[in-house]
Parts: sequence; C-alpha cells; structure tokens
Amino acid sequence: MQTLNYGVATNPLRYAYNARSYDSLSALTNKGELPKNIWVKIRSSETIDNTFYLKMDIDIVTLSECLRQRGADTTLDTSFFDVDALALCRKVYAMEAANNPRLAVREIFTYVEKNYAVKRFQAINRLLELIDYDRMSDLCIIGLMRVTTCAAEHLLVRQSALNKARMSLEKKQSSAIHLLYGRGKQEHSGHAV
Amino acid sequence: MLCDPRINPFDNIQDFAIAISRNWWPRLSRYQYHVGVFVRPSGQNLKLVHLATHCELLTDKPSEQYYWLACEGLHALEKILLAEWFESVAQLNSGCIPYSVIYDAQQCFDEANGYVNAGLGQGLTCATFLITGFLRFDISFIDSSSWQQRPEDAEWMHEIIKYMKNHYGPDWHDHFDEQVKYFDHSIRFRPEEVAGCASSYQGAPILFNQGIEIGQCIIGEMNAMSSSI
Repeated sequence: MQTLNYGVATNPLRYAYNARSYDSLSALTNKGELPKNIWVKIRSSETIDNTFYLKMDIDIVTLSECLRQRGADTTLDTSFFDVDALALCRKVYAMEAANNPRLAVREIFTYVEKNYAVKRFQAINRLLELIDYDRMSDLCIIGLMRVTTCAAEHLLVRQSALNKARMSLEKKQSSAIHLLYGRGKQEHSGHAV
Repeated sequence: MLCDPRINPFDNIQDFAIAISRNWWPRLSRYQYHVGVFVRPSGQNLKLVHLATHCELLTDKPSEQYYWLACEGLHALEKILLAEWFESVAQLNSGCIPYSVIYDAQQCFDEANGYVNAGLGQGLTCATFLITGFLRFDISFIDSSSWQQRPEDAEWMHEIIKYMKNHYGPDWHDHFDEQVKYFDHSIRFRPEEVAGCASSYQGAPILFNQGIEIGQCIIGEMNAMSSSI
C-alpha cells in the first residue's frame, strides 16, 4: 500500500471532489468492500476549493484497476483519475514486463511531448506522481526524469518524483543513479545560427 | 574520431552516432557541412535523422555520403535515450520545424508537438537541432555562452536566407525577413563544430576556442578521407 498526496489542482472543475466521499472510498477499498456505485459518490460537479489534497491508503492505479474490474469503467468518472496518465502507466508496466524498455521509454517520450504541445503540465505532473518507479527499468526512469528536466519549473511534483526515482534505483543498487541529474544547465539564451 | 562508412561500416554503430556530410556550395565557393544523427531505435534498422532544410525534419536511410562520429563520452543509457527520442521527435515534427538563424536555447522542444515555435523568424538549423535535442536530456555539450560572432558567418547568413526566400516563396518571406534583423548580433554554431563537440564531449561543456579546433580537425579528417579514395 502506498500513500499518495495530491497537490494543487489546476483545473478545479475537473478535480472537484467530495472529501467525505473520498474518505469513505478509501475506507471501503481498504476493507475490500468496494461497491459498484461508489463512483456516484466520488463524482461531483461542484468546486469545493481550488486546492485539494487527497490522502488515500491505496495506489490510485490499483484503485482504478479495481473499479474497472468490477465493471465500473463505463460509468466511472474516469477524468478524475487522469485516464491518459493511468493508461500510459499500464502500457509502460506491460512493456517493461515484456522486457521491452525501449518501447516503453518511447511511449513516455510521446506522452510528454504531446502534453507539452498543449501546455498540459498537470498531465505530466500526474504521470510523475502516479507511476510506480519500482516497476520501471533504469532506462525508463532516467528517460522520464531527464526528458522532464527542461520543464521542471512547471512540474510541481518533479522534485518528489526525482526522490522516488532515486530511491528506486538505490534499492536496486543501480549503477545508473548518477544519470538521474543530467549534465548541467545551459544558461545561454541568445541568438545563434 | 571521424569514421568513413566505407572503411568503418554503419553496422558498427550500436545505438547512436553523429552524422556529418558536406557538399560544394558554388555561390560561396566552399563546402557546406550538414549534421544529423544516426539512430538505431528498438528493433529497427539504422536511420539518419536530420533537419534537412526548412520544415523538413527527415528520417532517411543511411548513405555513404555521410561520415559518422561515435559519442564515447555518453553513457550507454544516454545513447539509447537520444536514439529513441530523436527518432520519435522526427515522427512527431517532420514538417513543423522552420529553418532559422535565430536560435534560443531555452525554448525549443517544449511545446508545439515537442517544438516551440516561439514567434516570427524562429526555428532551427541542422546544428541547433542537434544542440537542442541533447539539451532536452540536460546534456550541454557546448558552452554556447562562450560562442562568438565571426565576420564570415554574416556572409553565410545572407546567402542562406536569400536562398531560402527564393526557394520557399512569399508565404515565408516574413519569416526569413525577420531573421535579417539579427544578423549583426547573431552567432553561428557551425555543423562541423557541433558534430565534433557532440562527439568529443566528456562531461564538461566545450568552449568556443576548443570548438573551433575540433571543427577544423573534423574538416581536416574529411579532406584526408575524401582525397584517399
């Protein structure tokens, strides 16, 4: 079990939720008593606050998967869970399990680049936040952290993601750990041909 | 350092290498160098990715017209990441990177399909495309703040922009005209210098004076190789 702390939501409507319902959701999932209609309780079109914090004693990927397995995916308000980020997580896990980290890292690059295209930094934040670093190869961990370096100022959770990534590499005693932090910054911003 | 594919075949490139070629440019009576990258994406044959010209980021089959340079100073994982990234970016951006002598290291490959078109006149050259790609992985192989203007580069800029304007028609005149304003204070990263610096990089950004020497060394090696065949 993993505790996730969610930070500032940039789109209050999208992330609006009912805190009381979430508490009960967390409690229910812990007991393994997840009713099919739980989505009704968690879906809300009201904005409670522009800022929200969510603490759950369950990995959100696992929760989403659990809801899907219970046949809830047709009715679940999946936008809350950042469907794209979760779908990518699953894809990456599957590719890693199939021993294909290079394909996995390409998926990560495409996801990151496409979200930059529409300045959807929150989607990248969510990926950094949701992905399980212990299920990723060194290549994917380094790739994800390095490819997000240049947008670090927009990625509020990147520092904590970097810590998770470092811990994961440390756990495996990976020799790639020194690659997490890149090779220095480019200060110059001038005109050149 | 420089490898001629007729002697040192492309098969020896494992994941990633720098590609460089040259063509005679009659208008300036000198060679024009061109830089790109050789990549071997997962399960695929070797490919050449290069910003061939205005709005043409191409993925081509390797040709013996190109020499190659290994990047010994990069970690194996970094080479794989660069290979996968350059190839995937070429797929995403094949027609949307304008040619420009104006380059801002801070704003490329962030947004519009991986590339930020920050405004009129902005874009990349073959050389700045390479610099930008490496920067995407936080690899600063040159210290661009040390780069300086060289008088002969202004002549080159005028020629290339004149050619581009003629070739790409009125729709793009504003884009190219805008660049003329920057000629007096623009610096140029020459393809041979960028290729050599990317290959020679060992962890510390390469300074302008070293870059010049490295670029001249590359030209010397190309001359020697082409005259020996």
